[in-house]
Parts: sequence; structure tokens; C-alpha cells
Amino acid sequence: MNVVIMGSGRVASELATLLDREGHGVVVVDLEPGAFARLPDDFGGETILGDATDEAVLRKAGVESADAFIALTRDDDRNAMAAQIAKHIFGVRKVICRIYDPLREEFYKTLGLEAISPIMVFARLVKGRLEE
Amino acid sequence: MYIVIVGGGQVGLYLAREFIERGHEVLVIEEDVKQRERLDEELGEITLSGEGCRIQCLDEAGVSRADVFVAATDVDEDNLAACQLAKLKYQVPMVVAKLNNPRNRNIFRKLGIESTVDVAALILENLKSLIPVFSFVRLLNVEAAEVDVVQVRVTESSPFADKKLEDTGIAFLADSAFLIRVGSGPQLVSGSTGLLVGDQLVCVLQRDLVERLRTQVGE
Repeated sequence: MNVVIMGSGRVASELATLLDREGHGVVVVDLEPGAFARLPDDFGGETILGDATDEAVLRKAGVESADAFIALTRDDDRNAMAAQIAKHIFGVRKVICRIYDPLREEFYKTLGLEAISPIMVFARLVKGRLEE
Repeated sequence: MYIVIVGGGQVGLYLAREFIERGHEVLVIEEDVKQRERLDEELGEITLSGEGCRIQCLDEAGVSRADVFVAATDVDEDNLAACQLAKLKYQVPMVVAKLNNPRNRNIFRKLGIESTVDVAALILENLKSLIPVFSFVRLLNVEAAEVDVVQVRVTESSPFADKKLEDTGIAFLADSAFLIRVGSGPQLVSGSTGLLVGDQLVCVLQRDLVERLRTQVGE
């Protein structure tokens, strides 16, 4: 599977590393050159410095032949915009984006995006543990 | 009408002022306290503190009863998010976005936000209209109608200089373009109008004709 990941923060780097170790093709796109330092030395994927809300950058990252696009920057609006470009303009089959704001997570789901709010996920997880 | 503007920068301020002068109800959503103070000072209490892409904030602003929603921040991603919420969640009948990066024009359109104002392109074309080097300038886009207002300048190297309009490749402008010549008022051109260096033609054209015109002008 070929996966394009927008953002190279902690979660994005962990995900990129996991997918790379399983033998998937991974391209990580980030605006900050320093962000790639979180990737391990033996990371076998590609890194691209650029703005993943830019169609030209997405093309360079191989989004046209990607099986999945995952938007994991800390900015909800950027994640939502890039995810919609990947899904509706490039037709990527599997598109997932992180949306911190739980209210907007719902809204973007109505737009057909697979939005995940880490706040809701964690709150439900903790609640589940409490009820064990 | 009730108008909600996101972003209280220069564009937000002047737009709010124009609406207020015409007697409309205006609310400006702005995060920055200094910007809010400036707006409230000049225009009366018209601001709401918050982010225009947050649902709590849009609820508080009463966006569901807005007639017009304008996203005018300096960040295109924020403008897109705010406009999509206004249009799809709150069903605002008229939603307009300021575009800061021209490359986003098509993206906005494909994602359902058709009415955009491309700030960089506007400035560029307006500058070009003032500088005689440029022989073809798109002065204005009328997006909804797929129509442009275009200016053609007859330069020294122009293929139309010292010719009658009917003898040029732009004869189709006859009876539809206005001739602007220094020293005389604008007049409608006909096939027999002679074109001189320094003349300007201003016309309103459908997109396909705009491209034809551009090809003929050689730009």
C-alpha cells in the first residue's frame, strides 16, 4: 500500500515508521525541515518539504497513485483542506484526517471525510477504562 | 440584511463600514483583541471574539440567520473551513471567500465555494492595467456568469496598430468594445474604427472569446 502522510509530528512519525516497517510505501510531507528529525535513521520512506494543501506538492508526493492519504498536522483547517483535495480532486480511496475539535469532526464526517478527533478517542478510552 | 464577516483586517474593516453605511446589520468575527478594539471604536460594537471556523463561535454569531457570509482572513485554509460551515451547516444563501493564494481558486471551486475574490490576481491585473507594457489585462471576473471585463492596449508592436478594426483578428469586438483614447470620451467601436498606438479597448466577453482575444493580442 502507498500512503501519503501530511505532517511529521509525533503521531505522524510513529505512523510513518510503523507502516514503513511493515513494508508499505510511505511519503511524509511537512512544511518544517526540522520535523523529519523525528523519523528513525533507518526510515525507508520518502520525505517531501512542502505544503500538502498545494496540488503540485501533493502530485510530487505521489498522491495520484496513493492508496491512502492521512492528514495529521496540528491545524484542523489545513488537515480538512488537504484531505478534501486528496479525496475529491485526486480521488484517493482512503482518506483520514485528524480534527481536534469534536464538533467539527462531526461536520467533516457529513462531508464524507473520515475525521478522527483525538480528544473524543481519548475521552472514550478513559471512560471505558473507568467502567472496566 | 445580516452580514457576517470573518476577519477584521483591512478588507473586513472597509467591507463592514460599507455595509453599515447602507444600513445593514454587520457582525465581524475576529480573534485579535487589538483589531476588535479598532473596529468597535470606529464602527460601534460590531465584533465577536472568536474563530470563524469554530462551530460554537458561528452559533453565537447567529450565522443561521445571515444573508451574506464573507471569509476575509489572511489564511485560505481558515476561509475555506469557515465558508464550508456557513454554506453547508448553516445554509447561508451567499458565501464569499477572500483568496490569498491564487493557486487555491480551483480548489475552492471544486470543494463547493464558487464565489471567491483572488486578491493577488486583482492587484496584479490592476497594476498591469496602469503600465503600458502590458497589452492584455483581465480587469474583472464576473464568476457566476463566466464573463470577464478585459482591457486591450494598442502598443507599438501590436498587430492592430494603424489598422481598421475590421481588418484585424479582433474584428469580433465591433459594436461591443469601447474605445478609450486620450482626449476623447469612451465610444463604441465599429468595424471601420481605425486603431492607433496608445488606444485602449475595454470589453465584456464570455470566457471563450476572452481566450480568442488573448491569442490575437499575442499574450
